[in-house]
Order: sequence, then C-alpha cells, then structure tokens
Amino acid sequence: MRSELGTTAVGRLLRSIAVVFGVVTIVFFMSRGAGDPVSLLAPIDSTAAEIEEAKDRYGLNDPLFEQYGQFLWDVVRLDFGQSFRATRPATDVVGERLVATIQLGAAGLFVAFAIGIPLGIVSAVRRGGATDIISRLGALFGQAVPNFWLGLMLILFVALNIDWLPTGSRTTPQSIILPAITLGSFPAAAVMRFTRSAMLDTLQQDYIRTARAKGLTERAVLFKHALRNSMLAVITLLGLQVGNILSGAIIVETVFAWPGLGQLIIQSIISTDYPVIQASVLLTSVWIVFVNLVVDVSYTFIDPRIRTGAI
Amino acid sequence: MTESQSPPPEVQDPFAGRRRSWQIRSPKTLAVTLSVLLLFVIVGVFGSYIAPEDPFKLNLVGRLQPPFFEADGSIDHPLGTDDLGRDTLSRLIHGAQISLLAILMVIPLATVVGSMLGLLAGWFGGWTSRVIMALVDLQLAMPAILIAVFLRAIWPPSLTNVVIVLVFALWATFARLVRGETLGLKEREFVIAARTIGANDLRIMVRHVLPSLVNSIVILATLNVATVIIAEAGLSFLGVGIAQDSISWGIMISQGRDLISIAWWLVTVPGIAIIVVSLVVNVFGDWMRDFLDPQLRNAQ
Repeated sequence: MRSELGTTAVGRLLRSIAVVFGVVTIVFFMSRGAGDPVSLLAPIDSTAAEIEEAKDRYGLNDPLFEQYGQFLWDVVRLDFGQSFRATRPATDVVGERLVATIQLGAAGLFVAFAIGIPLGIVSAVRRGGATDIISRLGALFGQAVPNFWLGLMLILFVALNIDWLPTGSRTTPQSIILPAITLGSFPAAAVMRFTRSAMLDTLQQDYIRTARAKGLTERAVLFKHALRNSMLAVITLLGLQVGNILSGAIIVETVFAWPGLGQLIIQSIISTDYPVIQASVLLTSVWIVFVNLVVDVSYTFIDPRIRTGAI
Repeated sequence: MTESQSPPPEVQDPFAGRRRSWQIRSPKTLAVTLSVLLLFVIVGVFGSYIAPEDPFKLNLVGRLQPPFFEADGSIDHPLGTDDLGRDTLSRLIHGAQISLLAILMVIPLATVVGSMLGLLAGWFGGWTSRVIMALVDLQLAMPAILIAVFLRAIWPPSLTNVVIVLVFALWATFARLVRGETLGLKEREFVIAARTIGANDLRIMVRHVLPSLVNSIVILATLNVATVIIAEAGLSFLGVGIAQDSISWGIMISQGRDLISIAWWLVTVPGIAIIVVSLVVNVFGDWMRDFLDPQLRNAQ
C-alpha cells in the first residue's frame, strides 16, 4: 500500500515538473518571438553598435538553444533579472505582490465555498424547495455577471454608502471584504451546482439506503455518510478553481486597487517591464501547479480507491 | 467528470418533471430567450446601420447626459452620453459587434481543436494521450489572463490576441470531455463491430465515434459562449484585450469606471448588456442540453 501511494505521488510530481517545464518553454519562445528586449528598451538615441554591444552582454546573440539553456538555469535559480522599473530583482517584486494576490484568492475561495457548499447541500436535500429554486436561479445569474462589473456595482451601491467599507486599497482588515465577495461570487455558483449534483448522486447510493434502514437519524445519514462522500468531488473542484480564482483576482484587484499581481502586471505592461512580466507569468503558473499537486496528492490520502488505481 | 457519473437521480423520480416546472423549460421562457438571442445577433451584424448615431461623434456640450428616465435626460440619447458626449446606446450597439465576432471566431476554433485532440487522445491512448493530456495540464497552469498579458506585452492589442487567448483557454475543456466520452465509446458494440468488419482507425473515428459525440460537443460549445462574452469584456477592461480606441462592452465599462460616482449609467448599462446576453445564452445552452441529451439533465 505504502509503495503504491509513493508511486502515485511521484507520478504526480513528475507530471507537475513536466508542466512547469512546458510553461517555461512557452514563456521563453513567446519572449524571443517578440523580438529582443534590448532594441525595444534602448534609449532612442543609442547607436547600432551600442545596441549590438548590449545584446552581446545579455547573451541575445548566442545560439537559440544556448539562450534557452541559460533561461532554464535562470528559472531554476528564480533569477529573472532586474526589474526595469524598480531596479530590484524581478522575483522579489513579483513575490511580494503574489502574496497579496494569494491572500485575496484564498478569501475569495472561502467566500465561494462558504456560500456554495451549504446552498448546494440544502438544494440537494430539499430538491424543488424554495432554497433550491432560489439558489439555482442565483447560480444562473452568478454565472452571467462579470466579476469586475459586480465589483464596480458594489463600490457604487455599498462602499460609497457605508463609511467603514473602503472602495479600495489594502489598508484596513475590512478592505478585503468587498474584493473577496466580488471574487467569490462567480465560483460560488459553480461550487453550489457541483455540491448539489454530487449530493444528489450520493443520496441515491445503496449505502445511504442501508444507513437509513439501520435506523440512523437523518442528520447522521446526511452529515456522516452523504456529505463526506460528496465532498470528495468538491475537492476536485477546488484544484480546478485555483487557476480561475487567480485570474479572477488579477481583474478584481484592478477594480479595488488591491496591491497584488494584477496591478503590477498592468503597470509592467505600460512600462514594458519585461523581467517582471516573465516572472509573474512563471511564478503564478508554478503556484497553480503546486496547489493542484497538493490537491491531487491529498486526494489520494482521502480516497483509498485512487491509491490503488481503482479510479 | 460528468461522463463517469451514474444516471442522474431525476430518472427515478416520477415527480421530477412537475417539481422542476418553474424551470427555464417553459415555451414562454424559451421564446423570450430566443428573441433576445436573435436581437443580439441582429444588432451584432447590422449594428452600424441600426445605431442612431456615430459612436465616435463627440459632443462636448451634451456630455454626461443621463438616460431618458432621469430628470435631466432626453430621448435623443435614451441611454445617456459619456464624458465626451458620445451616445451610449450607439456605443452599446457597436460593442455587440466585438462580442459576436469573438464568439464566432473563438467557439468554432476551440471546439474543433479541442475535440480533435480529445478524440485522438481517447482513441489511441498511450503516449498520444499522455502528450495531449500534458498539454491540457499546461493550459490549466497558465490562466488565459497571463497569456493575454504576455501577448499584450509583445504585440499591440487586437481582436486576434483575444481570439488566441480564448482559444487557448477553452480548447482543453473540449479535449477533456471528448477524450472521456471516446474512452467509453471505444468499448461499445457498434465500434467493435466496425472494427471487426475491417474499418480503419480514421474511418471508425470519423464515421462512428464522432457522430455519437456531436451532441455533447454542441452542448459544451453553447455553454462556453457566455464565457467568451465575459472573458472578452474582462480582458478589454484590463487593457489586455482589444485596442482601447475601439468599442467593446468591456472597454465601455473601463472608460466609465472613473466616473462611476457621477455617471452611474456608463458602467451599469454595458454591464447589464453583458449579463442579459450571457444569461440568455446560458439558458439556451441548458435548454439545448435537455433537448439533445435528457440523460445529462442534471449533470452539472
């Protein structure tokens, strides 16, 4: 058993490494396909010789595969060069912002699951009831509302009217409330639908009938038997949502002036801060891969069937 | 995921139809849905002829006029004007064009690319499958928005960028769905029978497997339409979508956001347009799902 668990985990790890490798490769070729950053960034009055000299210095005249190897090596050492704007290592600049983004993402995820799971459960248990109807209509709406627009509406109708809720920035603890609600609303609809269908599915299983037949209270049947088994499916959703949540966070940040990756990326585009853009893309991707890896591996701990390769 | 689920519980519930009668399945809702959809398509195609005014025409005297139902509003500009006096309604109508164009380019491309790769992965398995699924993993790790940022950094903004980004973002869902279903179909009698009479891989895939997949693919494509509308708006809002001097609902929102406290309609109106269109598209998608595949009814 133990060795099987080991191989699965190692397999997932290898796959994750392959994915990161792929991301790095894509980023490299996209950057080089774009033309060289030196000509782009050199002062307007620099001579051709100066540009050539700078290209040599940055290794841009080396054969492509050498540049690629150098790039890989830089990535392994998390060295993306200096940020043009901040004149600090790009990794540091991005790292700080990534923390704020992950914080917002986690809060958004919390909102999504805190709304979605209870509503999904109640909808499944009382199918056709008022909660079911309302939350399904809500989910239908929730999946049609762009989050950045919802954020602006919250600013317009809530923040401008309630003093203690700021319209933006990350200064007080309550600053995170509106961005988190904005971010969480869209995935909440998905979580709700997913929980509902997983619960409905579980409630049809034979072991639920058995549990009822042996005289367990309805509460025990629901929470001990049905809920636990449905949550397995919901955990998968967690992994799938991480990427969505992070991209959502990038948009929501720009609405609420949350000093995370989103803002940084927009500024970096404006100032063509190449190292920072590369570092943000790579670090974000690596983070997503990492979370998915953790979800996958913890999944194998929770569900023995995966460990033994049954599903 | 959905494909491995056991038959949905509805099947065993004799009252299912009655209990769920509130739902979008009534002919009346469907009629409304289809009319709104049709309106969207007409506006998207013929927008330049329908719009009451030139959407770029400046009118500094008549700037920031509210919609007609407010005290200062006038019927000349039913949805008001922006800070440069441009007519909101006309801009809204022109904005539909970009949404429609994005849908028409992204959905077919993502559908074809994703379905083909999914079919290959499901049918051949082994290394083919491993490589294609690695690409799916790769997509999962690189959110569309990051690709958009990258493209924006290296190319000027354009609809092409949006299309590339969204095709990259969406093909994987098709690949996953089609692969899963192909795996199941491979074991079915009619496929085995086709193989027995000597049909080659290509023929079985195209003539036998693919036709059985069409329904699911069409359903998924419909359900992705709203995603395209919202994503295009989001990318353009961020400034990594289409050019800032063209008109899209996302750009209208981003231009209106700084004026949100004095001109609420500039942000609200295009947002409502996005919601209405996404909503009817999703309702239509749900309806298609029921229509084409009663078994999937509650799968999501």
